[in-house]
Amino acid sequence: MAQKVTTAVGSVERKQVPARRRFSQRPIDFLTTFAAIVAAIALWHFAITYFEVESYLFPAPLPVLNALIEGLSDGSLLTNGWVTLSEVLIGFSFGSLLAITLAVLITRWRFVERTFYPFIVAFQTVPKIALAPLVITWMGFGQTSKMLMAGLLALFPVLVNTITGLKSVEQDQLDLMRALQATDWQIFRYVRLPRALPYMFAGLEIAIVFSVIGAIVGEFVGAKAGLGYLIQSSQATLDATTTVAVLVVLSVMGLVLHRIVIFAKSRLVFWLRTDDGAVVGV
Amino acid sequence: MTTDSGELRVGTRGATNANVSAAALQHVHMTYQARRGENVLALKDVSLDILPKEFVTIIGPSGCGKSTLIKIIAGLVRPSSGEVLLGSSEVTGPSADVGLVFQQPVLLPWRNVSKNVSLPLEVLDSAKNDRRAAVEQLLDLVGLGKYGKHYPHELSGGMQQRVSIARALVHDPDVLLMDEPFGALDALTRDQMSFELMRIWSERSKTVVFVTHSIPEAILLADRVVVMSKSPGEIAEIIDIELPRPRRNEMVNTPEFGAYVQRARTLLNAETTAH
Ligand SMILES: Nc1ncnc2c1ncn2[C@@H]1O[C@H](COP(=O)(O)OP(=O)(O)OP(=O)(O)O)[C@@H](O)[C@H]1O
Ligand SMILES: [Mg+2]
Repeated sequence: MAQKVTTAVGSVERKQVPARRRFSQRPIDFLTTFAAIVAAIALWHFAITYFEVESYLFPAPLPVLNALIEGLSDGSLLTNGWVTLSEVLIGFSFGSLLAITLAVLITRWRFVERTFYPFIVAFQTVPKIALAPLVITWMGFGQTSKMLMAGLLALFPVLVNTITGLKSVEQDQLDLMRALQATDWQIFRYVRLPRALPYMFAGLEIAIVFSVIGAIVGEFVGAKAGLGYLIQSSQATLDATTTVAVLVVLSVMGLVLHRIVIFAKSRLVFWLRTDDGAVVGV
Repeated sequence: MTTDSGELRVGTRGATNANVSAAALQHVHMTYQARRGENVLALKDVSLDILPKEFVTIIGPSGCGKSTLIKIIAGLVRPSSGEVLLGSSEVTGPSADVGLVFQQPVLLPWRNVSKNVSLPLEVLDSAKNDRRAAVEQLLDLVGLGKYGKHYPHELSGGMQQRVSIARALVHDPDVLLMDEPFGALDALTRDQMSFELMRIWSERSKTVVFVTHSIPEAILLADRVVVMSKSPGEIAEIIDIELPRPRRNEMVNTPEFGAYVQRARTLLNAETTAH
Protein backbone atom coordinates (compact mmCIF):
# COMPACT_ATOMS: atom_id res chain seq x y z
CA MET A 1 0.00 0.00 0.00
CA ALA A 2 2.87 2.34 0.84
CA GLN A 3 4.15 1.72 -2.65
CA LYS A 4 0.90 2.91 -4.16
CA VAL A 5 1.28 6.27 -2.48
CA THR A 6 4.78 6.82 -3.78
CA THR A 7 3.76 6.08 -7.34
CA ALA A 8 0.87 8.50 -7.06
CA VAL A 9 3.21 11.24 -5.93
CA GLY A 10 5.60 10.34 -8.72
CA SER A 11 2.98 10.83 -11.39
CA VAL A 12 1.87 14.17 -10.01
CA GLU A 13 5.44 15.39 -10.11
CA ARG A 14 5.86 14.18 -13.66
CA LYS A 15 2.92 16.32 -14.70
CA GLN A 16 3.97 19.47 -12.89
CA VAL A 17 7.50 19.79 -14.12
CA PRO A 18 6.80 20.32 -17.81
CA ALA A 19 3.90 22.64 -16.99
CA ARG A 20 6.17 24.96 -15.05
CA ARG A 21 8.74 24.91 -17.81
CA ARG A 22 6.09 25.64 -20.40
CA PHE A 23 5.01 28.83 -18.65
CA SER A 24 8.51 30.18 -18.34
CA GLN A 25 9.46 29.31 -21.91
CA ARG A 26 6.44 30.40 -23.93
CA PRO A 27 6.75 34.24 -23.56
CA ILE A 28 10.46 34.11 -24.34
CA ASP A 29 9.83 32.01 -27.45
CA PHE A 30 7.15 34.43 -28.52
CA LEU A 31 9.33 37.49 -27.95
CA THR A 32 12.22 36.00 -29.91
CA THR A 33 9.97 35.24 -32.85
CA PHE A 34 8.42 38.69 -32.74
CA ALA A 35 11.82 40.39 -32.59
CA ALA A 36 13.02 38.33 -35.54
CA ILE A 37 10.03 39.38 -37.64
CA VAL A 38 10.52 43.07 -36.80
CA ALA A 39 14.23 42.82 -37.63
CA ALA A 40 13.48 41.14 -40.97
CA ILE A 41 10.99 43.87 -41.93
CA ALA A 42 13.47 46.58 -40.94
CA LEU A 43 16.19 44.89 -42.98
CA TRP A 44 13.78 44.64 -45.92
CA HIS A 45 12.98 48.37 -45.64
CA PHE A 46 16.60 49.50 -45.50
CA ALA A 47 17.70 47.15 -48.27
CA ILE A 48 15.03 48.54 -50.63
CA THR A 49 15.88 52.20 -49.87
CA TYR A 50 19.66 51.68 -49.77
CA PHE A 51 19.86 49.85 -53.11
CA GLU A 52 17.08 52.02 -54.60
CA VAL A 53 15.15 49.00 -55.85
CA GLU A 54 12.38 49.95 -58.31
CA SER A 55 8.95 49.22 -56.88
CA TYR A 56 7.90 47.11 -59.91
CA LEU A 57 10.77 44.75 -59.08
CA PHE A 58 10.15 44.54 -55.35
CA PRO A 59 8.17 46.91 -53.10
CA ALA A 60 9.15 48.31 -49.70
CA PRO A 61 7.25 47.11 -46.62
CA LEU A 62 5.19 50.27 -46.15
CA PRO A 63 3.51 50.30 -49.57
CA VAL A 64 2.79 46.61 -49.10
CA LEU A 65 1.11 47.41 -45.79
CA ASN A 66 -0.91 50.12 -47.54
CA ALA A 67 -1.91 47.72 -50.30
CA LEU A 68 -2.92 45.20 -47.63
CA ILE A 69 -5.09 47.72 -45.79
CA GLU A 70 -6.61 48.92 -49.04
CA GLY A 71 -7.26 45.41 -50.29
CA LEU A 72 -8.85 44.42 -47.00
CA SER A 73 -11.03 47.54 -46.77
CA ASP A 74 -12.27 47.49 -50.36
CA GLY A 75 -12.91 43.76 -49.93
CA SER A 76 -10.88 42.57 -52.95
CA LEU A 77 -8.43 40.59 -50.83
CA LEU A 78 -11.23 39.17 -48.72
CA THR A 79 -13.52 38.02 -51.54
CA ASN A 80 -10.64 36.59 -53.55
CA GLY A 81 -9.13 35.09 -50.41
CA TRP A 82 -12.44 33.40 -49.66
CA VAL A 83 -12.59 32.02 -53.20
CA THR A 84 -9.17 30.41 -52.79
CA LEU A 85 -9.83 29.28 -49.23
CA SER A 86 -13.06 27.51 -50.17
CA GLU A 87 -11.32 25.79 -53.07
CA VAL A 88 -8.57 24.62 -50.74
CA LEU A 89 -10.94 23.45 -48.00
CA ILE A 90 -13.28 21.54 -50.28
CA GLY A 91 -10.47 20.07 -52.36
CA PHE A 92 -8.49 19.08 -49.27
CA SER A 93 -11.51 17.52 -47.55
CA PHE A 94 -12.60 15.45 -50.51
CA GLY A 95 -9.04 14.52 -51.47
CA SER A 96 -8.19 13.36 -47.94
CA LEU A 97 -11.47 11.52 -47.46
CA LEU A 98 -11.02 9.70 -50.74
CA ALA A 99 -7.41 8.92 -49.82
CA ILE A 100 -8.36 7.47 -46.43
CA THR A 101 -11.18 5.42 -47.93
CA LEU A 102 -8.87 4.08 -50.65
CA ALA A 103 -6.20 3.28 -48.06
CA VAL A 104 -8.71 1.30 -45.99
CA LEU A 105 -9.95 -0.64 -49.01
CA ILE A 106 -6.44 -1.29 -50.25
CA THR A 107 -5.19 -2.64 -46.95
CA ARG A 108 -8.40 -4.61 -46.37
CA TRP A 109 -8.57 -6.56 -49.60
CA ARG A 110 -5.57 -7.96 -51.38
CA PHE A 111 -7.23 -7.78 -54.78
CA VAL A 112 -7.96 -4.06 -54.39
CA GLU A 113 -4.30 -3.56 -53.55
CA ARG A 114 -3.20 -5.60 -56.55
CA THR A 115 -5.56 -3.73 -58.86
CA PHE A 116 -4.89 -0.20 -57.68
CA TYR A 117 -1.44 -0.07 -56.19
CA PRO A 118 0.53 -0.21 -59.47
CA PHE A 119 -1.44 2.79 -60.72
CA ILE A 120 -0.90 4.67 -57.49
CA VAL A 121 2.83 4.05 -57.59
CA ALA A 122 3.02 5.07 -61.24
CA PHE A 123 0.85 8.13 -60.72
CA GLN A 124 2.74 9.22 -57.63
CA THR A 125 5.80 10.18 -59.63
CA VAL A 126 3.78 12.29 -62.11
CA PRO A 127 4.10 15.97 -61.21
CA LYS A 128 0.41 16.60 -60.55
CA ILE A 129 0.93 20.36 -61.04
CA ALA A 130 1.51 19.65 -64.72
CA LEU A 131 -2.05 18.38 -65.00
CA ALA A 132 -3.48 21.83 -64.27
CA PRO A 133 -3.96 22.88 -67.94
CA LEU A 134 -5.76 19.60 -68.66
CA VAL A 135 -7.97 19.94 -65.62
CA ILE A 136 -8.89 23.52 -66.57
CA THR A 137 -9.75 22.33 -70.06
CA TRP A 138 -12.07 19.68 -68.67
CA MET A 139 -13.73 21.62 -65.87
CA GLY A 140 -13.50 25.21 -67.03
CA PHE A 141 -12.42 28.45 -65.38
CA GLY A 142 -14.71 28.09 -62.36
CA GLN A 143 -13.88 26.88 -58.88
CA THR A 144 -14.47 23.20 -59.58
CA SER A 145 -11.24 22.81 -61.51
CA LYS A 146 -9.25 24.37 -58.63
CA MET A 147 -10.94 22.11 -56.09
CA LEU A 148 -9.99 19.17 -58.23
CA MET A 149 -6.37 20.36 -58.33
CA ALA A 150 -6.31 20.90 -54.57
CA GLY A 151 -7.82 17.46 -53.99
CA LEU A 152 -5.46 15.78 -56.43
CA LEU A 153 -2.44 17.19 -54.65
CA ALA A 154 -3.83 16.30 -51.23
CA LEU A 155 -4.67 12.74 -52.24
CA PHE A 156 -1.27 11.13 -52.50
CA PRO A 157 0.47 12.14 -49.29
CA VAL A 158 -2.58 11.08 -47.28
CA LEU A 159 -3.03 7.86 -49.23
CA VAL A 160 0.56 6.69 -49.00
CA ASN A 161 0.95 7.58 -45.32
CA THR A 162 -2.37 6.05 -44.29
CA ILE A 163 -1.53 2.82 -46.10
CA THR A 164 1.80 2.69 -44.26
CA GLY A 165 0.01 3.34 -40.97
CA LEU A 166 -2.68 0.72 -41.51
CA LYS A 167 0.00 -1.83 -42.35
CA SER A 168 2.16 -1.02 -39.35
CA VAL A 169 0.26 -2.89 -36.63
CA GLU A 170 2.38 -4.51 -33.98
CA GLN A 171 2.24 -8.29 -33.92
CA ASP A 172 1.65 -8.30 -30.16
CA GLN A 173 -1.39 -6.04 -30.47
CA LEU A 174 -2.75 -8.27 -33.23
CA ASP A 175 -2.16 -11.33 -31.05
CA LEU A 176 -4.01 -9.63 -28.22
CA MET A 177 -7.05 -9.10 -30.44
CA ARG A 178 -6.80 -12.54 -31.99
CA ALA A 179 -6.67 -14.12 -28.55
CA LEU A 180 -10.04 -12.52 -27.86
CA GLN A 181 -11.38 -13.85 -31.15
CA ALA A 182 -11.97 -10.31 -32.35
CA THR A 183 -13.59 -9.87 -35.74
CA ASP A 184 -11.74 -8.09 -38.55
CA TRP A 185 -13.94 -5.08 -37.98
CA GLN A 186 -13.07 -5.00 -34.27
CA ILE A 187 -9.38 -5.30 -35.02
CA PHE A 188 -9.74 -2.42 -37.47
CA ARG A 189 -11.66 -0.25 -35.05
CA TYR A 190 -9.73 -0.96 -31.87
CA VAL A 191 -6.20 -1.30 -33.23
CA ARG A 192 -5.53 -0.63 -36.90
CA LEU A 193 -7.27 2.71 -37.24
CA PRO A 194 -5.93 4.38 -34.07
CA ARG A 195 -2.53 2.95 -34.83
CA ALA A 196 -2.67 4.55 -38.30
CA LEU A 197 -3.74 7.99 -37.00
CA PRO A 198 -0.23 9.43 -36.48
CA TYR A 199 0.74 8.37 -39.99
CA MET A 200 -2.49 9.74 -41.40
CA PHE A 201 -1.80 13.11 -39.81
CA ALA A 202 1.74 13.15 -41.15
CA GLY A 203 0.06 12.90 -44.57
CA LEU A 204 -2.60 15.51 -43.80
CA GLU A 205 0.07 18.00 -42.72
CA ILE A 206 1.72 17.76 -46.12
CA ALA A 207 -1.62 17.61 -47.89
CA ILE A 208 -2.96 20.90 -46.53
CA VAL A 209 0.09 22.75 -47.85
CA PHE A 210 -0.11 20.91 -51.17
CA SER A 211 -3.81 21.79 -51.50
CA VAL A 212 -3.01 25.50 -51.34
CA ILE A 213 -0.39 25.02 -54.05
CA GLY A 214 -2.89 23.08 -56.16
CA ALA A 215 -5.57 25.75 -55.94
CA ILE A 216 -3.12 28.59 -56.70
CA VAL A 217 -1.60 26.80 -59.69
CA GLY A 218 -5.11 26.11 -60.96
CA GLU A 219 -5.89 29.81 -60.69
CA PHE A 220 -2.67 30.71 -62.49
CA VAL A 221 -3.63 28.58 -65.45
CA GLY A 222 -7.06 30.11 -65.81
CA ALA A 223 -9.50 31.69 -63.36
CA LYS A 224 -11.91 34.54 -62.84
CA ALA A 225 -11.22 35.05 -59.14
CA GLY A 226 -8.98 33.95 -56.28
CA LEU A 227 -5.62 34.94 -54.83
CA GLY A 228 -3.75 33.22 -57.65
CA TYR A 229 -5.83 35.21 -60.11
CA LEU A 230 -4.99 38.43 -58.21
CA ILE A 231 -1.27 37.66 -58.39
CA GLN A 232 -1.49 37.12 -62.13
CA SER A 233 -3.55 40.24 -62.85
CA SER A 234 -1.29 42.42 -60.68
CA GLN A 235 1.76 41.09 -62.47
CA ALA A 236 0.15 41.99 -65.80
CA THR A 237 0.27 45.66 -64.70
CA LEU A 238 3.73 45.27 -63.10
CA ASP A 239 2.11 46.01 -59.73
CA ALA A 240 4.57 44.11 -57.53
CA THR A 241 3.23 45.84 -54.43
CA THR A 242 -0.16 44.15 -54.80
CA THR A 243 1.54 40.86 -55.68
CA VAL A 244 3.50 40.88 -52.44
CA ALA A 245 0.41 41.92 -50.45
CA VAL A 246 -1.43 38.91 -51.87
CA LEU A 247 1.55 36.71 -51.04
CA VAL A 248 1.35 37.87 -47.45
CA VAL A 249 -2.34 36.92 -47.27
CA LEU A 250 -1.57 33.62 -48.91
CA SER A 251 1.17 32.68 -46.46
CA VAL A 252 -0.97 33.65 -43.48
CA MET A 253 -3.70 31.41 -44.87
CA GLY A 254 -1.28 28.52 -45.37
CA LEU A 255 0.15 29.00 -41.90
CA VAL A 256 -3.23 29.04 -40.20
CA LEU A 257 -4.46 25.96 -42.08
CA HIS A 258 -1.29 24.07 -41.22
CA ARG A 259 -1.65 25.08 -37.57
CA ILE A 260 -5.22 23.80 -37.51
CA VAL A 261 -4.09 20.40 -38.77
CA ILE A 262 -1.30 20.30 -36.18
CA PHE A 263 -3.77 21.24 -33.47
CA ALA A 264 -6.17 18.48 -34.52
CA LYS A 265 -3.23 16.09 -34.53
CA SER A 266 -2.16 17.01 -31.01
CA ARG A 267 -5.73 16.41 -29.86
CA LEU A 268 -6.34 13.12 -31.65
CA VAL A 269 -2.87 11.60 -31.37
CA PHE A 270 -2.42 12.67 -27.77
CA TRP A 271 -0.65 9.50 -26.67
CA LEU A 272 2.49 10.37 -28.61
CA ARG A 273 2.70 13.83 -27.12
CA THR A 274 5.98 14.78 -25.49
CA ASP A 275 6.37 17.00 -22.45
CA ASP A 276 6.30 20.26 -24.38
CA GLY A 277 3.06 19.39 -26.14
CA ALA A 278 4.59 18.58 -29.50
CA VAL A 279 3.41 15.39 -31.13
CA VAL A 280 6.19 13.02 -32.03
CA GLY A 281 6.29 12.43 -35.75
CA VAL A 282 6.49 8.99 -37.25
CA MET B 1 10.44 -37.20 -19.18
CA THR B 2 6.89 -36.17 -18.48
CA THR B 3 4.09 -38.19 -17.07
CA ASP B 4 2.50 -38.87 -20.40
CA SER B 5 -1.17 -39.71 -20.45
CA GLY B 6 -2.10 -40.25 -24.05
CA GLU B 7 -4.42 -43.13 -23.15
CA LEU B 8 -6.24 -41.06 -20.59
CA ARG B 9 -6.87 -38.29 -23.07
CA VAL B 10 -8.08 -40.64 -25.82
CA GLY B 11 -10.22 -42.46 -23.34
CA THR B 12 -11.92 -39.36 -21.98
CA ARG B 13 -12.34 -37.28 -25.10
CA GLY B 14 -16.06 -37.86 -25.33
CA ALA B 15 -16.62 -38.16 -21.61
CA THR B 16 -17.87 -35.63 -19.09
CA ASN B 17 -15.73 -32.69 -18.16
CA ALA B 18 -14.74 -34.14 -14.81
CA ASN B 19 -12.01 -36.34 -16.23
CA VAL B 20 -10.85 -34.12 -19.07
CA SER B 21 -7.61 -32.23 -18.69
CA ALA B 22 -7.87 -28.47 -18.85
CA ALA B 23 -5.15 -28.32 -21.46
CA ALA B 24 -2.93 -30.94 -22.97
CA LEU B 25 0.03 -31.04 -25.32
CA GLN B 26 0.93 -34.26 -27.09
CA HIS B 27 4.38 -34.57 -28.70
CA VAL B 28 4.42 -30.95 -29.71
CA HIS B 29 7.28 -29.78 -31.88
CA MET B 30 7.75 -26.21 -32.92
CA THR B 31 10.19 -25.05 -35.55
CA TYR B 32 10.38 -21.36 -36.41
CA GLN B 33 11.29 -20.47 -39.95
CA ALA B 34 13.99 -17.86 -39.38
CA ARG B 35 14.50 -15.23 -42.01
CA ARG B 36 18.01 -16.18 -43.04
CA GLY B 37 16.99 -19.73 -43.91
CA GLU B 38 18.13 -21.47 -40.73
CA ASN B 39 15.33 -22.99 -38.72
CA VAL B 40 15.03 -22.63 -34.96
CA LEU B 41 13.77 -25.66 -33.09
CA ALA B 42 11.99 -23.94 -30.21
CA LEU B 43 10.15 -26.94 -28.75
CA LYS B 44 11.04 -30.60 -29.07
CA ASP B 45 8.56 -33.33 -28.25
CA VAL B 46 6.76 -31.54 -25.46
CA SER B 47 3.95 -33.48 -23.80
CA LEU B 48 2.14 -32.00 -20.85
CA ASP B 49 -1.21 -32.67 -19.27
CA ILE B 50 -2.64 -29.84 -17.22
CA LEU B 51 -5.51 -30.81 -14.97
CA PRO B 52 -8.54 -28.64 -14.35
CA LYS B 53 -7.96 -26.17 -11.51
CA GLU B 54 -4.29 -26.95 -11.48
CA PHE B 55 -1.63 -24.29 -10.97
CA VAL B 56 1.32 -25.12 -13.18
CA THR B 57 4.44 -22.98 -13.32
CA ILE B 58 7.12 -23.17 -15.98
CA ILE B 59 10.75 -22.26 -15.46
CA GLY B 60 13.67 -22.58 -17.82
CA PRO B 61 16.57 -20.65 -19.27
CA SER B 62 15.93 -17.70 -21.56
CA GLY B 63 15.07 -18.77 -25.08
CA CYS B 64 14.03 -22.31 -24.16
CA GLY B 65 10.56 -21.83 -25.61
CA LYS B 66 8.40 -20.85 -22.65
CA SER B 67 6.63 -18.03 -24.49
CA THR B 68 6.23 -20.27 -27.50
CA LEU B 69 4.57 -22.90 -25.32
CA ILE B 70 2.13 -20.32 -23.92
CA LYS B 71 1.28 -19.05 -27.39
CA ILE B 72 0.69 -22.57 -28.63
CA ILE B 73 -1.74 -23.33 -25.81
CA ALA B 74 -3.41 -19.95 -26.47
CA GLY B 75 -3.88 -20.97 -30.10
CA LEU B 76 -1.89 -18.00 -31.37
CA VAL B 77 0.87 -20.16 -32.82
CA ARG B 78 0.29 -23.44 -34.62
CA PRO B 79 2.81 -26.10 -33.64
CA SER B 80 4.80 -27.72 -36.45
CA SER B 81 3.57 -31.09 -35.26
CA GLY B 82 1.79 -32.64 -32.33
CA GLU B 83 -1.59 -32.14 -30.82
CA VAL B 84 -2.92 -29.44 -28.51
CA LEU B 85 -6.15 -29.74 -26.57
CA LEU B 86 -8.06 -27.21 -24.55
CA GLY B 87 -10.72 -28.90 -22.50
CA SER B 88 -12.00 -31.65 -24.71
CA SER B 89 -11.53 -29.93 -28.05
CA GLU B 90 -8.49 -29.59 -30.25
CA VAL B 91 -6.93 -26.14 -30.41
CA THR B 92 -7.16 -24.76 -33.93
CA GLY B 93 -7.17 -21.09 -32.99
CA PRO B 94 -7.60 -18.75 -30.05
CA SER B 95 -10.46 -19.18 -27.62
CA ALA B 96 -12.12 -16.54 -25.47
CA ASP B 97 -12.09 -19.03 -22.56
CA VAL B 98 -8.44 -18.16 -22.14
CA GLY B 99 -7.03 -15.14 -20.35
CA LEU B 100 -3.61 -14.21 -21.63
CA VAL B 101 -0.89 -12.12 -20.04
CA PHE B 102 1.91 -11.42 -22.49
CA GLN B 103 5.54 -11.04 -21.53
CA GLN B 104 5.17 -7.33 -22.43
CA PRO B 105 2.11 -5.40 -21.20
CA VAL B 106 0.78 -4.88 -24.79
CA LEU B 107 -1.60 -2.08 -23.84
CA LEU B 108 -3.32 0.06 -26.45
CA PRO B 109 -1.77 3.52 -25.91
CA TRP B 110 -4.87 5.37 -27.18
CA ARG B 111 -7.13 3.82 -24.52
CA ASN B 112 -7.00 4.80 -20.89
CA VAL B 113 -6.44 2.21 -18.18
CA SER B 114 -10.14 1.44 -17.65
CA LYS B 115 -10.72 1.12 -21.36
CA ASN B 116 -7.72 -1.16 -21.73
CA VAL B 117 -9.04 -3.43 -19.02
CA SER B 118 -12.54 -3.47 -20.48
CA LEU B 119 -11.28 -4.32 -23.98
CA PRO B 120 -12.03 -8.06 -23.69
CA LEU B 121 -15.57 -7.25 -22.52
CA GLU B 122 -16.12 -4.91 -25.42
CA VAL B 123 -14.78 -7.40 -27.93
CA LEU B 124 -16.91 -10.14 -26.42
CA ASP B 125 -19.83 -7.70 -26.42
CA SER B 126 -20.90 -7.97 -22.81
CA ALA B 127 -23.42 -5.61 -21.22
CA LYS B 128 -22.17 -2.10 -20.48
CA ASN B 129 -23.22 -1.96 -16.84
CA ASP B 130 -21.49 -5.21 -15.99
CA ARG B 131 -18.37 -3.90 -17.63
CA ARG B 132 -17.87 -0.91 -15.35
CA ALA B 133 -18.27 -2.92 -12.16
CA ALA B 134 -15.92 -5.65 -13.33
CA VAL B 135 -13.28 -3.15 -14.43
CA GLU B 136 -13.40 -1.19 -11.18
CA GLN B 137 -13.17 -4.33 -9.09
CA LEU B 138 -10.13 -5.58 -10.99
CA LEU B 139 -8.35 -2.23 -10.92
CA ASP B 140 -8.74 -2.20 -7.15
CA LEU B 141 -7.42 -5.72 -7.06
CA VAL B 142 -4.20 -4.82 -8.88
CA GLY B 143 -3.85 -1.65 -6.78
CA LEU B 144 -4.67 0.79 -9.57
CA GLY B 145 -8.12 1.89 -8.45
CA LYS B 146 -7.25 5.58 -8.84
CA TYR B 147 -5.64 5.20 -12.24
CA GLY B 148 -8.62 4.36 -14.41
CA LYS B 149 -8.48 7.64 -16.31
CA HIS B 150 -4.71 7.57 -16.85
CA TYR B 151 -3.15 6.57 -20.14
CA PRO B 152 -0.53 3.84 -20.44
CA HIS B 153 2.29 6.28 -21.19
CA GLU B 154 1.64 7.90 -17.82
CA LEU B 155 2.30 4.64 -15.95
CA SER B 156 5.46 2.87 -14.91
CA GLY B 157 6.36 -0.47 -16.45
CA GLY B 158 5.16 -2.38 -13.40
CA MET B 159 1.85 -0.52 -13.35
CA GLN B 160 1.36 -1.27 -17.04
CA GLN B 161 1.96 -4.94 -16.38
CA ARG B 162 -0.64 -4.88 -13.61
CA VAL B 163 -3.14 -3.36 -16.04
CA SER B 164 -2.49 -6.24 -18.40
CA ILE B 165 -3.09 -8.71 -15.57
CA ALA B 166 -6.43 -7.06 -14.81
CA ARG B 167 -7.31 -7.24 -18.50
CA ALA B 168 -6.57 -10.97 -18.61
CA LEU B 169 -8.93 -11.58 -15.70
CA VAL B 170 -11.79 -9.28 -16.64
CA HIS B 171 -13.80 -11.71 -18.75
CA ASP B 172 -13.41 -14.39 -16.09
CA PRO B 173 -11.73 -17.02 -18.29
CA ASP B 174 -11.40 -20.62 -17.14
CA VAL B 175 -7.77 -20.87 -18.13
CA LEU B 176 -5.14 -18.24 -17.37
CA LEU B 177 -1.94 -18.27 -19.39
CA MET B 178 0.59 -15.91 -17.87
CA ASP B 179 3.97 -15.24 -19.40
CA GLU B 180 6.23 -13.75 -16.72
CA PRO B 181 3.41 -11.53 -15.48
CA PHE B 182 5.33 -10.25 -12.47
CA GLY B 183 8.62 -9.73 -14.27
CA ALA B 184 8.44 -5.93 -14.08
CA LEU B 185 7.24 -5.68 -10.49
CA ASP B 186 9.16 -4.85 -7.31
CA ALA B 187 9.48 -7.56 -4.66
CA LEU B 188 6.70 -6.20 -2.45
CA THR B 189 4.10 -5.80 -5.18
CA ARG B 190 5.17 -9.12 -6.57
CA ASP B 191 4.36 -10.85 -3.29
CA GLN B 192 1.02 -9.08 -3.02
CA MET B 193 0.10 -9.99 -6.57
CA SER B 194 1.16 -13.61 -6.09
CA PHE B 195 -1.20 -14.05 -3.18
CA GLU B 196 -4.01 -12.20 -4.95
CA LEU B 197 -3.54 -14.50 -7.91
CA MET B 198 -3.66 -17.59 -5.69
CA ARG B 199 -6.80 -16.25 -4.04
CA ILE B 200 -8.54 -15.69 -7.38
CA TRP B 201 -7.35 -19.06 -8.58
CA SER B 202 -8.79 -20.94 -5.62
CA GLU B 203 -11.97 -18.84 -5.27
CA ARG B 204 -12.96 -18.92 -8.90
CA SER B 205 -11.41 -22.34 -9.59
CA LYS B 206 -9.30 -21.47 -12.58
CA THR B 207 -6.52 -23.33 -14.29
CA VAL B 208 -3.28 -21.37 -14.37
CA VAL B 209 -0.17 -21.83 -16.48
CA PHE B 210 2.43 -19.40 -15.24
CA VAL B 211 5.89 -18.71 -16.65
CA THR B 212 8.52 -17.23 -14.36
CA HIS B 213 12.27 -16.80 -13.99
CA SER B 214 12.11 -16.96 -10.22
CA ILE B 215 12.56 -20.41 -8.71
CA PRO B 216 11.02 -19.55 -5.31
CA GLU B 217 8.03 -17.95 -7.03
CA ALA B 218 7.56 -21.00 -9.23
CA ILE B 219 7.56 -23.29 -6.19
CA LEU B 220 5.45 -21.13 -3.91
CA LEU B 221 2.65 -20.82 -6.45
CA ALA B 222 2.57 -24.21 -8.06
CA ASP B 223 0.99 -27.60 -7.79
CA ARG B 224 3.59 -28.66 -10.33
CA VAL B 225 6.73 -26.96 -11.63
CA VAL B 226 7.72 -27.72 -15.19
CA VAL B 227 11.46 -27.34 -15.61
CA MET B 228 12.50 -26.83 -19.20
CA SER B 229 15.88 -27.22 -20.82
CA LYS B 230 17.44 -25.21 -23.56
CA SER B 231 18.14 -25.80 -27.23
CA PRO B 232 16.07 -27.51 -28.15
CA GLY B 233 13.31 -26.64 -25.68
CA GLU B 234 12.30 -29.82 -23.90
CA ILE B 235 10.70 -30.62 -20.59
CA ALA B 236 13.56 -31.69 -18.32
CA GLU B 237 11.43 -32.64 -15.38
CA ILE B 238 8.14 -31.95 -13.69
CA ILE B 239 8.34 -31.43 -9.94
CA ASP B 240 5.25 -32.08 -7.84
CA ILE B 241 5.03 -29.51 -5.06
CA GLU B 242 3.42 -31.04 -2.02
CA LEU B 243 3.33 -28.01 0.23
CA PRO B 244 0.00 -27.46 1.97
CA ARG B 245 -2.49 -24.85 0.82
CA PRO B 246 -3.13 -22.04 1.36
CA ARG B 247 0.47 -21.13 0.80
CA ARG B 248 2.01 -18.52 3.06
CA ASN B 249 5.14 -16.46 2.72
CA GLU B 250 6.76 -18.13 5.77
CA MET B 251 6.82 -21.45 3.94
CA VAL B 252 9.78 -20.14 2.00
CA ASN B 253 11.89 -20.73 5.11
CA THR B 254 10.91 -24.37 5.64
CA PRO B 255 13.35 -27.20 4.85
CA GLU B 256 10.85 -28.72 2.41
CA PHE B 257 10.77 -25.52 0.43
CA GLY B 258 14.55 -25.33 0.50
CA ALA B 259 14.76 -28.86 -0.85
CA TYR B 260 12.47 -27.97 -3.75
CA VAL B 261 14.54 -24.89 -4.55
CA GLN B 262 17.70 -26.96 -4.42
CA ARG B 263 16.26 -29.54 -6.77
CA ALA B 264 15.04 -26.99 -9.29
CA ARG B 265 18.33 -25.13 -9.18
CA THR B 266 20.33 -28.28 -9.76
CA LEU B 267 18.14 -29.17 -12.71
CA LEU B 268 18.45 -25.71 -14.21
CA ASN B 269 22.21 -25.59 -13.70
CA ALA B 270 22.62 -28.97 -15.33
CA GLU B 271 20.53 -27.79 -18.24
CA THR B 272 22.36 -24.52 -18.75
CA THR B 273 25.88 -25.92 -18.46
CA ALA B 274 25.22 -29.02 -20.54
CA HIS B 275 25.20 -27.02 -23.77
N1 LIG C 1 8.46 -15.40 -34.14
C1 LIG C 1 9.63 -16.08 -34.07
N2 LIG C 1 10.36 -16.29 -35.18
C2 LIG C 1 11.51 -16.97 -35.13
N3 LIG C 1 12.04 -17.47 -34.02
C3 LIG C 1 11.39 -17.29 -32.87
C4 LIG C 1 10.15 -16.57 -32.84
N4 LIG C 1 9.71 -16.54 -31.55
C5 LIG C 1 10.65 -17.19 -30.83
N5 LIG C 1 11.65 -17.65 -31.61
C6 LIG C 1 12.79 -18.44 -31.16
O1 LIG C 1 12.32 -19.55 -30.44
C7 LIG C 1 13.10 -19.76 -29.28
C8 LIG C 1 12.22 -19.72 -28.07
O2 LIG C 1 11.67 -18.43 -27.90
P1 LIG C 1 10.71 -18.06 -26.71
O3 LIG C 1 10.31 -16.64 -26.87
O4 LIG C 1 9.63 -19.06 -26.66
O5 LIG C 1 11.68 -18.22 -25.47
P2 LIG C 1 11.41 -17.95 -23.91
O6 LIG C 1 11.66 -19.22 -23.20
O7 LIG C 1 10.10 -17.31 -23.73
O8 LIG C 1 12.58 -16.92 -23.57
P3 LIG C 1 12.57 -15.74 -22.46
O9 LIG C 1 12.69 -16.37 -21.12
O10 LIG C 1 13.79 -14.95 -22.79
O11 LIG C 1 11.31 -14.98 -22.64
C9 LIG C 1 14.18 -18.69 -29.28
O12 LIG C 1 15.37 -19.27 -29.76
C10 LIG C 1 13.69 -17.66 -30.23
O13 LIG C 1 14.76 -17.09 -30.93
MG1 LIG D 1 9.44 -15.51 -23.09
